[in-house]
Amino acid sequence: MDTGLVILLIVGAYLLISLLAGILPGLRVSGSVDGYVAGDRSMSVFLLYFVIGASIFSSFAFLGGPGWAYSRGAAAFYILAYGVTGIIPLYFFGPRAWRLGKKFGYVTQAELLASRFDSKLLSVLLAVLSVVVFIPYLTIQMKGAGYVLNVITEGLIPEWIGAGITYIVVMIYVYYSGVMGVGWSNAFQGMFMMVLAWVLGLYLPNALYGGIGPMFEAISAAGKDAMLQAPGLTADGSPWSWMAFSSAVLVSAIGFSVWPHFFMRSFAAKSDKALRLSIVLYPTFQIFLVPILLIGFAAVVLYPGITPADSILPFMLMQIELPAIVIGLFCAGTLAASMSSGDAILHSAASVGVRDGIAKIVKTPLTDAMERRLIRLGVILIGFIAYLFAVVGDVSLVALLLASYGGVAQIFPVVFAMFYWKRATKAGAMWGLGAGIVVNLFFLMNPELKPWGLHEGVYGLIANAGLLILVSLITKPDDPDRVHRFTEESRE
Amino acid sequence: MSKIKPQSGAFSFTLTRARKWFLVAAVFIQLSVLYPVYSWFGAAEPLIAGFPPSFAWIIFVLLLSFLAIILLYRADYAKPNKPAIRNRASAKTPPEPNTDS
Repeated sequence: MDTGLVILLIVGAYLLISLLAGILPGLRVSGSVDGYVAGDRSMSVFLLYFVIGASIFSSFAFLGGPGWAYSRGAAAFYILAYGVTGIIPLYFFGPRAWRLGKKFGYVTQAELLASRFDSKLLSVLLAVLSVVVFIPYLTIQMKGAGYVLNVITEGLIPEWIGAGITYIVVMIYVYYSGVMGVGWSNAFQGMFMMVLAWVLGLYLPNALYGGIGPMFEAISAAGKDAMLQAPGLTADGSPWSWMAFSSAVLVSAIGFSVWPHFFMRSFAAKSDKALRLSIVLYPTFQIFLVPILLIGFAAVVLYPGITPADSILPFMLMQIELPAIVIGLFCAGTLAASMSSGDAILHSAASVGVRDGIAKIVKTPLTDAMERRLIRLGVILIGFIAYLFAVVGDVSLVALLLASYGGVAQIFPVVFAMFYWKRATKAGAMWGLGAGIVVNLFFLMNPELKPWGLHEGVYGLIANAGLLILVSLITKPDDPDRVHRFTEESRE
Repeated sequence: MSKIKPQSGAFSFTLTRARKWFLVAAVFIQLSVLYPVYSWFGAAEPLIAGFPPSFAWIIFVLLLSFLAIILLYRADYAKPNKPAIRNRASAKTPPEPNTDS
């Protein structure tokens, strides 16, 4: 059979299964906002494991991971390093959020915070922050999907069609089934990616060098030792500074657990124990980044000078004589990486934007049915905006995404204070979060002013935590009943 | 990460012995992927099981943190003779069973 046809058939079959896996669960959840956003709090360990795990396997990891290993060497270990501890706070925050959600009906992170600090403004601020960081994230997923389909079909499918078809499938199942659609499609996509990552990651070094050891020896023999030495290289090929590496790892580790789409999966859990177990198992997903990085290292000696570096994985596959079925499976795997992150982001962006943004601004309260309709409308609207960026936008979005970690990390201090610090006040939370975002943004735009060259998020976090503590201590304590609910009633 | 002592009354931590150990371990694990600890193990050679030390170290630390969180989970959900989780309020009185975080 013709190679192109085989690939298209495999991709087509994959998209169809994703669609079915995404739509069928929608038949079982209730028609409420609770059902749409939090799956009626019914997710088992199996589903949660994949929903939480899939967040790591984005287009960025699948294409950017090998790209970093290929062009920046040991710098790519950054992606592994921040996840090592990044998940841990969720082990403690998650069950508390889950208990409060079950008792009082919360389904988003902003809702919790706005309720603890009694502030609509905080809710709207978080909604805006979330949607602003989600759109470039979603755009990158779409670009990844379009890009891979384009390269693999040797230009037969233009990027805008590839991204369009893939995300119409995503939009249908997210629109229809909400978070349960995301869950079941992620379970299917996740298993698919796991197998693929290991097969390719072990196969390529073996086929090209005769093993992982010989591959790294070849890199050293080619005089590229500097590349394998931590913390690797910067994008321009000079050594990355230890301060920049360490602070980037730290900020990302802090920000990881409070990404709104990640955090809000806590509410979908069946029980706090199920949630904890899926968090405990998370590193089994993370270890899959190891073969992904090996793919990038496999190209260092054999294919120097490929730009952009992110295209190294599809490029290699086209160089090696592989059966069409393998290329087709790889192609579907990359789409799975893109879709399993994209659907969660799309779902969260719409939910948070409507529930924590629009619903707080309008004068008359929204009915449940109206809210669900608006969220679905949001899915289409946000999907469309991200698609426009994907089709007309340029590469600077990747930088924007990496930068957004500094902004997201600013949510950490207020989440921590919400659950653990009784003396935190509304004014303290507002000043802390506000100052954190402003300082982060300032140093992002004026990197030459940064003292010691740390990640801009660090300065934001210092201002954030400092003001949160200081302003809280000089203002009147918050209503003790409300504080009690969050710090004590969340405990069991 | 939560390193503040729970006794002040302004905080609401549920710190069991296992959790204290876990948090200490987590701090060390975090430090081990940052400067300067990582720089001691961040060389390009000699290869360890086929991996450069800079890579092998990160994988080792990842496995270590996996082990730590498994042990924590087992301690938190142990079916105990004595309760695994003891909250601050009940510290002076006999501990209540199954008070979770």
